[in-house]
Amino acid sequence: MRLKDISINNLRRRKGKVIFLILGLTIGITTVVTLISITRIMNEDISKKLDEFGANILIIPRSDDLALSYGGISFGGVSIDTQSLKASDIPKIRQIEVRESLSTVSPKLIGVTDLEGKRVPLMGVHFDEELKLKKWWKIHGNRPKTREEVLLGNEVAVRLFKSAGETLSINGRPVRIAGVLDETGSQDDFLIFADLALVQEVTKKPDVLSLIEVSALCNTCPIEEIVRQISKQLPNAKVTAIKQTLQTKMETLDHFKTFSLGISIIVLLIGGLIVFTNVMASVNERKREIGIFRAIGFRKSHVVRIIFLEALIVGLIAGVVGYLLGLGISQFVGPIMTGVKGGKWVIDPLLIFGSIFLSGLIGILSSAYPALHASKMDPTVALRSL
Amino acid sequence: MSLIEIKGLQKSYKSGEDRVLALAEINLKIERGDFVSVMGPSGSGKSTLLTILGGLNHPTQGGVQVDDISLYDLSLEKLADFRREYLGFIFQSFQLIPYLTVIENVMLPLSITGRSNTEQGKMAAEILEKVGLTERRTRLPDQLSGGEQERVAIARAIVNSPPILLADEPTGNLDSKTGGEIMRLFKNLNEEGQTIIMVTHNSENSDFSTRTIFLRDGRLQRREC
Repeated sequence: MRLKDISINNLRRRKGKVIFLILGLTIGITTVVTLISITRIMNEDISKKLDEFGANILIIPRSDDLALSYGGISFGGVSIDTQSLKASDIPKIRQIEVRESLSTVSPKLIGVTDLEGKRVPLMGVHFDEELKLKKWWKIHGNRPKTREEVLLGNEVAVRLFKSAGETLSINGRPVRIAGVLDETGSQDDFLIFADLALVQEVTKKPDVLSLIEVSALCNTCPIEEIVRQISKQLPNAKVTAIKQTLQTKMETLDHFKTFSLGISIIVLLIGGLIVFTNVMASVNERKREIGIFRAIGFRKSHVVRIIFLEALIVGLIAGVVGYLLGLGISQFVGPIMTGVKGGKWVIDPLLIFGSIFLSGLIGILSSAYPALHASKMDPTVALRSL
Repeated sequence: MSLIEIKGLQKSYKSGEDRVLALAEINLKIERGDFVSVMGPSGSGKSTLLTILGGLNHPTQGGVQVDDISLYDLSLEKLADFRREYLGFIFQSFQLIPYLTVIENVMLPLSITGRSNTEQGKMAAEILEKVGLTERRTRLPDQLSGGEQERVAIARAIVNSPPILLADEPTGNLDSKTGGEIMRLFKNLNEEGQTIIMVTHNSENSDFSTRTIFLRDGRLQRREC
């Protein structure tokens, strides 16, 4: 027999009280796990929206020429060759220190073409990157697969009476319309999207870029730092972080995080207090038993270990139960509370071990004084029969 | 050299403004293999003497020497180690741990000795056979009769083969027949060389001992061999 057998047997004997103790601690851990999970769901939702919204960072040539604009932000005129962005700037962006935070780097060249007597803006893009960036695009037809395929903005298609499958001639180059975009309500409705290399060729601006859109992984994005590092890499470019309305959502999330932390601390303190009062009461109930232990030669440290072991077992069980309950509640109640769909079940090892560790730690800390009190009990007082 | 030597032992308690003398000027030697009965009326200091002999109660004056160990010069933790190595306690109302089975109760003193579970189990089984409780090994204390509980308490006290067995009214809660059986068990243990010091009210019990001492108002009255 070992000391742990004494602890386990005692817990088995006092099932009712132990369940109450576990419940007290479980409520605390459940609250923490629920709040962390809900915060995470909200965070992911905001990141998703940021990604859907498009680029977080816009890189344009440093120029005084404000002739063209895109996305509500003015950028330099393509005519100023000395300050144009180059295709060789792309690898430089990919080399910044916080490159793991970069998701999409989408270079663009804007030009103008004459189509049936109408001047239509043309945008050269890498379709793979662009489609990753603009997840909200709905295409009637197909995604362009070859260099000779283009996408038409909704308004352009209407004005030119063109639809998917038909052909166009851009500066003398025949291209096929792979698809037409659904109305987006943005400048994209007025653009023809073609392969970047093709646009560079027909506008006779090889290697030239008008702008680069960069999307960062916004769960972790240190956006200001990315801007700073790209600016350092591209001294001739103007790098701007697009701070849109989602910034407000981020601030709300920060407030919620602070609120969650406060609530978690309070609930955990209450959980700790429940453990403390219960263990203290249990120690007083077990005076006689502790007296027997001491009389037959148990050291103070043995008594402390028995009580700590009991608290640890209770804490670990409460940690596991609390984690599972918290996960369940965040999946079912979280969406109602936040208006964000719960999505898939995320099993985060850090949160599992964190909850169990935290619960065990609270168990031990809350039992520290009662354990010390028990070890200091005078065996003769404890053993009244002697 | 005597196994136990008590010199000038005195114990007083504070009661309000006054000090109450529980034991006064006790001088006593107990030899290896002695079976000593301590008798006296209630409040005579019997239990106080037993707790002092058990290293549980610091005397106000004087000391207790066991072998060459001066008990109350030891630190509290060393005193706990001493109890584990030297003493077996049998308490008045059995004092078994209610949530441990018979064999687990017997193994309790072994659980802190570093012995393997197998060794502990073997030692406990041997002792249970000796006290006739092999069949009851997996029962909980509340499933046993008073006599059986007492025998478990004895088994727990001797499983570690301590040189000294201290018993406080071991038959106090038993009927006379069961009490007699327990006393015969004590006698057998003593005949095997076990030193026993037993506090008792019952003069019939003292007949089993090799020596009886009487206490009155904390003072030693006389000795019988």
